[in-house]
Amino acid sequence: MTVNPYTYLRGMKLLVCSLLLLSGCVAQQIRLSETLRPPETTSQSFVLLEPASLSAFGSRRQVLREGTTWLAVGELDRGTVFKSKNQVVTVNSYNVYEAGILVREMQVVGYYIPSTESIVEIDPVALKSSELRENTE
Amino acid sequence: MKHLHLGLLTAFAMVLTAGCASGPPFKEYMASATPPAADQGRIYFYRTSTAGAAVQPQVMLNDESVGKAVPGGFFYVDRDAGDYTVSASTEAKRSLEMSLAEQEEKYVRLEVKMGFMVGHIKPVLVDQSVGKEEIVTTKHAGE
Repeated sequence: MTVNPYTYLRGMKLLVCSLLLLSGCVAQQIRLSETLRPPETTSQSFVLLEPASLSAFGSRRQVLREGTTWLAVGELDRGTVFKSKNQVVTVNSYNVYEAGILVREMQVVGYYIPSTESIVEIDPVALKSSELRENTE
Repeated sequence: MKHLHLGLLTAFAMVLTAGCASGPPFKEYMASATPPAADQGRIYFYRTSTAGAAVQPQVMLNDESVGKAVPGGFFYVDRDAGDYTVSASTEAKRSLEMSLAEQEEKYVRLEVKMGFMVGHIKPVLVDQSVGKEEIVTTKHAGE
């Protein structure tokens, strides 16, 4: 069987282009040297007053909905990790990871993935929210 | 000629629906379901899309087969609180890492993605509100 060299080359080009496109399209997880600590003070929470759109390279965009309540679940040197009972947060890349949001000075600065003890950094997004309050739940 | 057209249409419809879930609709099935035990949560798995109907891999939960990704189908499992990995393999394996708390309900949508040779199934964790709305269109696909 003879293979048309033109067809072969075209196939190889397609394969190389696909591989180039696919490489780097996965959200970059940064492994942490620290483990999540319990919240320093009494557990805090806030309610989001406006939607916030989070975008990480290699992950599907996620919008935090207005009216959702966020509870502090732990502390890292880089900020506080919050989770919500009203909304699922995921890093949706080639694989999907349930995550918390990493908040510093009322800006979301990343996702925290508990299963891999890592974070995915994002461009900071300011949160318009109610004031932090002590969790009464 | 009319009969031929009708026959072709019927055959086409049969091909389209072949392999789709044929159990009771979600609401009917769940009407007789018991709630999970106090120390367990429930994970629902469902697939709304009929695209790539021939691709129906086993759905694995921490390497245990819990069901099949049948188009238009759903199933659920009750498990202890903890961390879980959901995966479904064809030519490639895509996974979801998630946690489950006591009495919590989680919804995992099984999405069909383009593959090199065959489609992939990607398990995606969705909000309860989304899951509850979408799963009612499916039928039970338990084994």
